[in-house]
Order: sequence, then structure tokens, then C-alpha cells
Amino acid sequence: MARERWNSRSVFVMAAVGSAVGLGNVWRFPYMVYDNGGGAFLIPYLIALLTTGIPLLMLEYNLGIKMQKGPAQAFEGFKKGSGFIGWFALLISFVIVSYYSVVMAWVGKYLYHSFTVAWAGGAKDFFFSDVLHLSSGVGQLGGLVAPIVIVLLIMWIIMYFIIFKGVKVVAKVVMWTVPLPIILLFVLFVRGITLDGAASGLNFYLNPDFSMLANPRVWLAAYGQVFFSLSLGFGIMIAYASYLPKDSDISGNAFVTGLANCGIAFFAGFAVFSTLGYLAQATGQPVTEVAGAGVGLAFVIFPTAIAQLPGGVVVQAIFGVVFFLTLITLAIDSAFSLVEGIVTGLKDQLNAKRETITLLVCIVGFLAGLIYCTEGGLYWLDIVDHWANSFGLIVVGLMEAILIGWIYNPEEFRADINRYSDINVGKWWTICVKWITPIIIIVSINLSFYSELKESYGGYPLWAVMVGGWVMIEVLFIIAVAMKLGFRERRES
Amino acid sequence: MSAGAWIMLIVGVVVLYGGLGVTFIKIFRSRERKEIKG
Repeated sequence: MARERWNSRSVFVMAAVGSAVGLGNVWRFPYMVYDNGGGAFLIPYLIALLTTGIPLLMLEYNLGIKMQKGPAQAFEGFKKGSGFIGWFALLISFVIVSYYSVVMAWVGKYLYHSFTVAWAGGAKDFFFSDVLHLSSGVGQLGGLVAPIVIVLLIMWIIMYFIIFKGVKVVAKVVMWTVPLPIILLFVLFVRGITLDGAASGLNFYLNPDFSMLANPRVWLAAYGQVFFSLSLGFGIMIAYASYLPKDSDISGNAFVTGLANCGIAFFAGFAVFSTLGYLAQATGQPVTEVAGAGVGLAFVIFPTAIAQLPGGVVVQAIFGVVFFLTLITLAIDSAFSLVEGIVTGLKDQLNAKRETITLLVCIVGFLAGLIYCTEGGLYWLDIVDHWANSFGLIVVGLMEAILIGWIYNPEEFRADINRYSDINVGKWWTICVKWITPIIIIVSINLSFYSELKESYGGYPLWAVMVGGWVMIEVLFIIAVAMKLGFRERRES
Repeated sequence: MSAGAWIMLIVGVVVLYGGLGVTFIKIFRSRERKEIKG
């Protein structure tokens, strides 16, 4: 059967940008800039983009286009015995989408509450008590929080209907879900920069502290941000690229995806920090006190700022809806791209119907997400997220770079990239994949490992960190190797 | 905003959005060349 195809090159680029641009662009990047030397952080960030982000994107695109298969089969077909890398990437993707969809459920719930600005009485209490029913500790799992479960189910149903018919429907969806959050971010940007105190917020965002460039952790933070932000190591880009024809441009698509993703993150920083500047002024606190990242920024800090906006409840409700609609449209294409990667991998391996595999993945994904819908779910989400990112994805990236840079001939791979590309890639690509990326990743893994040994992550008890962190990663790795061996035996018999 | 913040703003805009613009131009020029060559 002929392989499905994207309608056009621009649709593929839209889907790839949609996958890369997610919640992290709004809630992680701006704070990282502020926390790592302000505007000076842009220097290591742009260097990281050019020396790791874009070269690895080209690597994954070429693997998908050349092999015309999902991640596991692409690795296995490319180099016999390496299929476990693809399975490991897909298992990590599965773990990530199981909790990412729960965050989307929180956003969905907040979208509903935006119409009445329900958090106006106190955003912190509203989030932790009213929405999450947060328990006292990681050991107190408590019962399921029914409203979150219902919204989670809706999210998985939406994802199922986007993916089950293949990339043709995905193509139609991304034409809306990629431009829409950019337009909404522009609305937030205009509102933000016209508020009192916006300039002081932006000053905190961009004022450079060049002395920070001497700190290796700033450089590692930049490389980490680029790596996580571009959907590298998930297997998504391999899966998406496998639906492109073999004579597709690789380098041009990689440059567009990488630069667009980082450009959107940079722009989002203006919307976020101008609003934080206003919040600081309105509450009489310094910007350093109100600045934050992640869940805290999205569900506590920003809602607090929205509840302080001038113009009354109607205006606040409008901007609440705009903000949470931005988040949900940013998140949805990242989430379904994760599921699409898994579905492509399984479909190519089992030769089963796409609809059946999509349904199974969505049901199992929903069930796996229920743990994060409990009263102690936030703690587990935090632990699993930390390990999946710090030791999961990054290990996949390392294995990819070693496979192509050291086991395979990187010059031959580069010639493959250049064969149909519009922009010729020089020898710098080989240096980046063979030397820079592995060295940076090995240093980063060692530093993370050292900091875990020194101090338990987030102050969680050791047993929780073992279960949600170390054991989870090791079990996924063992399953990946078992899948690779199991599928080989099945084929041979 | 401080002068340093303005400079980094300009650097970010030029590199990211300028880079995107240059990439598009290179892609279109390459396509034109390929079409002319047939």
C-alpha cells in the first residue's frame, strides 16, 4: 500500500512547527531568558540552535525521509540492531503525552472558568484547592478529581479524531492550530505592552548580564532549552518526515522549523514579561517576586495578572479566554504529534489499521493519565516530567548523534541531506553531530546525575523519586529493547 | 528599557526573524534555479 503523503511542503512545515511550538515556548523560554542572564542568554541560545537544534532536526528529517518508516523501523532499517532507540523514543513520548494531556485538561478547565474569572478571589488557592484538590504530599494519592478526568477524556477524544484518518486530517487541523495561537499571542502582546509597568517587565526579560556567559550552567540551560523545544528525541520529526517524498528538501525545512519555533518563543516573552511588569506594579512588588515559570506561571501568576487588568470583569474574562485559548491551541498540536509518532511506529511495525491502533493508543494514554488526575497527581507529574526530559529525551538525542556521528559515516549522511536540499550543508554539520552534540549531552547528563545524587529532586522522598524517576526510565529502556527483540523474532519466525 | 535590553531586542529580531527571511529567500532562489535548469 502506498504511504500517506502530506498535501504540500508548507503543510509539513506547519505541522513540524506546531509540534515544536508548545506550552514551553510560553511558560519555559521567557523565564529561562530572565533567569540566565537576560538578553545575554540569547547568545548561547542562538549558538545552541545552530550547533545542536537545527543539525539534529536535519538528522531526524533525513532518517524519516530516507527510510520512509516510523522511528523504530527507520533506525532498524538504517542500522541493524538500533531499532530500540526508536522504541525508547516512542515510549518516552507516550509517558510525556500521558501527563501533557492532563496539563491540557487543566487548561481546558481554566478556559471554561475564564468566562467568570473564577480565580479572582485568589489564583493560588483556586488552582491548588479548587481545581487540583492537591493532597498534602506525594504519598497521599487520594481519589480521582472527576472534573479533570472528564476534560482529559474530551482531550483524548479530540486527539483521536485529529489523528485516526492520517496526515491529511492533521494537515487540515494544523492550518488552524498553528497560526491561531500566534494571532492570540499578538493580542496578548499588544495588551501587555500597553499596560503600565510593561517596560520594567521587559527590562527584566532582556537586560543583559554578560557575566553570566562565563557560567557553564547557562550554556547547558541554552542547549537543554533548544533540545526540548524542538521536539527532538521524541521520534515525532522522524515520523512526520516519513510522510514526505524522498526528494524533499531537508536543510531548508529544518532551518524554517528551528527559527520559527525560537522566534515564537522570543515573541511570547514580550507578552509574558510585559504583563508581569504590570502585575509587579499593580501589587507593589518587584518583578523578581512575581516572575515564574511552568505550571505556576500559567495557572497562578498569569491568572492573577488577568484578574488585575483594568476595565472590569468583562475585559478580564476576554483576556482570560484569549490566554487559555492560546495555551490550548499551542499544546494541542504538540500533543497529537506525540500520539502520531507512536501510531506511525506501531502501524509500520504491525501493519494494522490506523484507526484501530489510534484508538488503542488513545485509550491506554487516557488510562495512563489518570494517575495525574488524582489529588497527588501534580507531584507525580513533576517527578515524571523531570526524568523524562533530563534522562529520557536527552539519552535518545545522544544515541542518535553517536549512531550517525560515530557508527555510521556522517559525511555520507551529510551528502544524503544535501542531495535534494535547497540550502547546502557544510562540514560544520558533521562537527556538530559528531562532537558538539554528544559532548554537551554527556556533560549535561553527568551534571544532572550529580545533582540528583547530591540532593533529592524537589525535596521528594527517595522512594517517590525512585519509582517515578529511575525505575520508570529503566523499565522503559528494558521494554524498548524487548520490543525490538520481540518484533525481530516475530519477523524471523 | 535599558540600552542593553534594546540592543538584545534588536539582536533577537535580526537573527531570528532575519534568519527566517533569509532562509525563505534561499529556498525560493534555489527553486528558481532548479526550474530554469529544468
